[in-house]
Order: sequence, then structure tokens, then C-alpha cells
Amino acid sequence: MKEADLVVSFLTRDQGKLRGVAKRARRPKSAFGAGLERLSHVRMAYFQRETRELVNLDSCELIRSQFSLVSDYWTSVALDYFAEVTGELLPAAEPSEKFFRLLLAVLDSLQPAETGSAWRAVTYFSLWAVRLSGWLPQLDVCLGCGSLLDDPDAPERAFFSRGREGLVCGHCRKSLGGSSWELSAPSRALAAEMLRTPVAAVRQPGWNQATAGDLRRFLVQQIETHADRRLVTAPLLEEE
Amino acid sequence: MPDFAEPLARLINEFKRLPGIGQKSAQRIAFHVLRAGREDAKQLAQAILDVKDKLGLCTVCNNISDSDLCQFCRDTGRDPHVVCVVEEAHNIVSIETTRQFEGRYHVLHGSLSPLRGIGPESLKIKGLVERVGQGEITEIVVATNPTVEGEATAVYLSRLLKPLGVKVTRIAMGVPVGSDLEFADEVTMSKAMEGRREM
Repeated sequence: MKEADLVVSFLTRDQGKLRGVAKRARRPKSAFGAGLERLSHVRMAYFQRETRELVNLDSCELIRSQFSLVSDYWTSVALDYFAEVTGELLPAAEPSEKFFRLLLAVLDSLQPAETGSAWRAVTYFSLWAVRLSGWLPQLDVCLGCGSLLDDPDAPERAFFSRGREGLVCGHCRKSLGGSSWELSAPSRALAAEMLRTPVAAVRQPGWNQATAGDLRRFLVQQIETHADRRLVTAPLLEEE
Repeated sequence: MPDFAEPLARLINEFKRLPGIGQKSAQRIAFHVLRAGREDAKQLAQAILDVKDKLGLCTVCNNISDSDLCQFCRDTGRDPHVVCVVEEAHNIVSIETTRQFEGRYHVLHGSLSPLRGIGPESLKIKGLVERVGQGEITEIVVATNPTVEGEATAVYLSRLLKPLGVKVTRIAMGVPVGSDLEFADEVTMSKAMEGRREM
């Protein structure tokens, strides 16, 4: 490794998450250009030696850059959040085509200078990232007593807490003790909608930081519990 | 790691903590120090201590300085109305080598990078806002790196400072001198087109 070289972590459609060295990438005349910027969608050529963990990046051709999105601060934070969660959840060199498509879909849904699209994308990405990792609990059933939370005749409030894998009803919350947060009925309905709708089709008008904030907190806690560490970008995303 | 005598092993471990230095390089440097004369070793140790003891941040621009004000803030020949904002103190050297800029500087000590937990409050932005608020500055030149983080920082600063009535400009981005347009990617080329100038 030399001073102008860069170690890059990248997600491929067919080989999963890989790490490689881009020679002279930090030099102004580097052939990699903007292709190695965070979450750039590129066509990459690299070669891999069986005995080496790091691959050697040969070239990358830019398909789509996220450079224009940084004109909005929250969108820029959202991009870092996607990168961190992807890096945290995906094991090295294990293909995950669905996760790759999820990332492309949320990036496509982001619009420059439209903060609402960032909150929608973050919520959608978090929900599907947890689901694709196999950790998404049923959002309509109490983890404690098994009662239906969305029973039309007797709707129950739903609560979650750090370290607990699902939602509990008001009664179970009291008996389990500890601090907990409510996951509102509208947020649960939104989660259900997001699980059956492409991100671009999820209703957008009025999206802001407060929209589904409880759902994002629940999902971030699920990610952090399973990753066994706190996400660096999550608190910045929820700052006012 | 082979069994070195304790002082040597400790020195190797200390060198290994430096950026870009691995086990082999650390051993090579440690053996170089071991072979060097006592006076050379003392000078190295003293230079390291001096950096820690005698240097601080300029109270105005946060540049690294051995007194309250750095050389650029002390220099009355420089234009106090134009301030160039850079990410790191060593970026000033690159700008100074051009001999084109005669204003003053402001060092942010980083760029916005949520992935590394760096938000606006982690940067030296408050002092910049205060400097602009004093009314003497007419232009802020944002010379953060042409990366996603640098661009996000530039956009953030521009939104923060423009309402204070100051002109905010961004250094040009685009095709490097001596390169070939054929190999420029679309972001570089579009930035070059955006920043084109009349001849």
C-alpha cells in the first residue's frame, strides 16, 4: 500500500461484499475518478488472488453517482447510514442479490433537494434490511402473550424495547418492566404497506423527520441488537 | 512477533500505532533508531515533544501555530476580507504553493462525515460564523475536498453563511491539468462544464 492508494469496501451483485485496493486512487489524475465515492453505482473490474483477502481494483466505470444528492444535508446523512448498515449487516463475500437490489431501489428513490424522500428511503431501507437479515418480527402480534395487536374489535397499543426481538402489548409491557417506546398504529400500517410496495410507490407527500420516527427507532434497535454495536450514523439522522 | 528486548519491543509497538506503519516498517524504523547516535535519537524525541508542547491552534482560524495567531492571521499584508475555508491545516500548504491566494484561512479540522460520527458540531464552524458576523469578511472561498463529504460540507456552509450577507464561493472542480478528456468520468466532466469560464 502506498500513500495515494485507497482501500475500498464495495458491494457486488454476484459476489457480495468485498474489499480491495485501488492503486493511486487519491491522485488527481486517478482513472477511478468519482467512481469510488460513497455509494457510487459502477461497473468494476478487479482481480482476486485466492490467498489474499483484498482484491486489486483495475478500473471502474461510473453508472450513477450520488454526488448531486449531497445538496441536502439529511440525504447526505442517509447515504452514510445506508453504507454503514450495509457494511454492518452483510457478511464478506456472500452474495445477496436482494440486498443489492434494495440498495439500488432506495438510491433511485432519492431526489436532490427533497428531504422527504430521504426519510422515506431510510425507513424503507431499514425495514427491508432487517427483513432480509431474517430479524423482522411479526408487527401485529404481542411477543409476550401472543394476542393480536391489530384486532379491529380490541386494538392494542404496541411497545418495543432495546434487546427485545418483537412488540409487546400494554399488559405485557407492565409485567416485563424496563424502558420501552410505543410503535404507533399508523407506523405499523406504514410498515405493512412498505413490505408489499416498491419504495417509489410508497406515499410520499408530507414525509418529514417525524414521520415514522418510532418505526425507524425500532428498526435501528433491531439492527444494533443483532450487530452487537451502536450505529454511528443513526443518532445524526435523528438530530433536530 | 519475535521476542525483542522490552524497550525495543515497546518502541516497535509505538511506531506501529502511526498511520501507514505496519510491523515490518515499525521494526525497520526502530532498528534505525537503535543504530543511530544518542544525539540523533534525542533530537527525534525532542522534536516529537516540541510538537506536542509548543504547538496549538490559532485562536482566530484554527490553523496549527506556535503562538496565539498563526503566520497568516498575523500577516497584515493579507486581505482580511477574503477567507478560504479548508478541511485540514495541511491543505493550506497546497493553496499557498499556487501564490494566487492572498486572503486568510479558516481550518475546519475535518469534513461532515456521518459514517465517522462527524456532524456539524464536531467541526470548527462556530468560529467561522462568528468571524463572518463581525462584518469584515466579504467573501468565503470554500476549498473543501472534491469528495462527497467535502461537497456536503461546502453545501452546509453555504446555507449557513449566505444569510449573513457574505459571498460564498467554491473552488473549481473538473478536469486536471495534463489529463485527457477521454478518460474523465461524468461527474468530473459535468463539474468542469458547470465551472466553465468566459475567455
